[in-house]
Amino acid sequence: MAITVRIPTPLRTLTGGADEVAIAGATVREVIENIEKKHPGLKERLLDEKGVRRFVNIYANEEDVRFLDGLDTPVKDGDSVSIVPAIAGG
Amino acid sequence: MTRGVLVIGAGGLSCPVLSVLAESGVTRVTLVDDDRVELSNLQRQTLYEESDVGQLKIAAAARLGNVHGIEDRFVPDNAIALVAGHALVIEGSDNYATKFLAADAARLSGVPIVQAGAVRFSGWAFASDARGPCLRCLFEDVPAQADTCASAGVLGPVVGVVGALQAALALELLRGRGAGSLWSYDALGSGLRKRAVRARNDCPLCSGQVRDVSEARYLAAASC
Repeated sequence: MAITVRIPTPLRTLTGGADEVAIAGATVREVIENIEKKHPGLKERLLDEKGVRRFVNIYANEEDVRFLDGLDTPVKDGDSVSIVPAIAGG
Repeated sequence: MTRGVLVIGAGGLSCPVLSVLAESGVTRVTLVDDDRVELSNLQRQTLYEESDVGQLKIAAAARLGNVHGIEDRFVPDNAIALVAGHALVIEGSDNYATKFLAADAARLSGVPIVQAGAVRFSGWAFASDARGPCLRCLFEDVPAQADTCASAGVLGPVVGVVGALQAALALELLRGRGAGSLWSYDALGSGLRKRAVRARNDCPLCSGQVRDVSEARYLAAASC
């Protein structure tokens, strides 16, 4: 078992096209650190020096982590982490 | 409904929106856009035909019968005046600057707004009433750079799905329901998902820090 991380289409070039990846971790921060080891470049697209980038939302089990414990939000096997970036086109 | 609906942009998202509004008894739609139909638009902008190429999109959209076109861009100088007098704003522009400008102008005017975006294989739609969470609660501010449909392309069915969703949210919002959820659509993977959006305590728009639509607020992202 692991955490299922849902990758948005703009970032799938970094995961070899995969829309979901299984990653271990006890917090959202650990999940991001571990996904960076497996798919380098993702972390920079999600975080800056202040935390989650302002035009990216990260959800733990469909709840915005900004309203939980942020990057320290705990996750467990079977949970999901979803990345939802802003998209501008129309 | 005595007041009409303002639609910003006449591109891929707005085509299904305008069609639905025309079939749903919305008798007065103001459409603001200054683009002309190009051949490359036709695979996703379903209101237009090959014979419309070179014509203003607002002129072609006027065939629907309920559309009053304004040949202009939605910019800080005209935003508040364009929103005034409308019951609802539906924003389907192709750039962040216009999206945040529309969110600000709608909230400052006390008018609900439905917004959406789509690039490549995915998109989102979000409805905000005049009090609850807004676009700045969701994405905070204009990114310095990002893909747009003009630079990255968009799959025709994606704007169809997201635009139809935007239309459904608009009809719900006109009935006083449907605000506060983010819908995201991924044509390649997870399909359609709905997530609750909460108001951020530090949202500059909801907290009253944004009091006008001065141009400097929207300069971070290039218009396209």
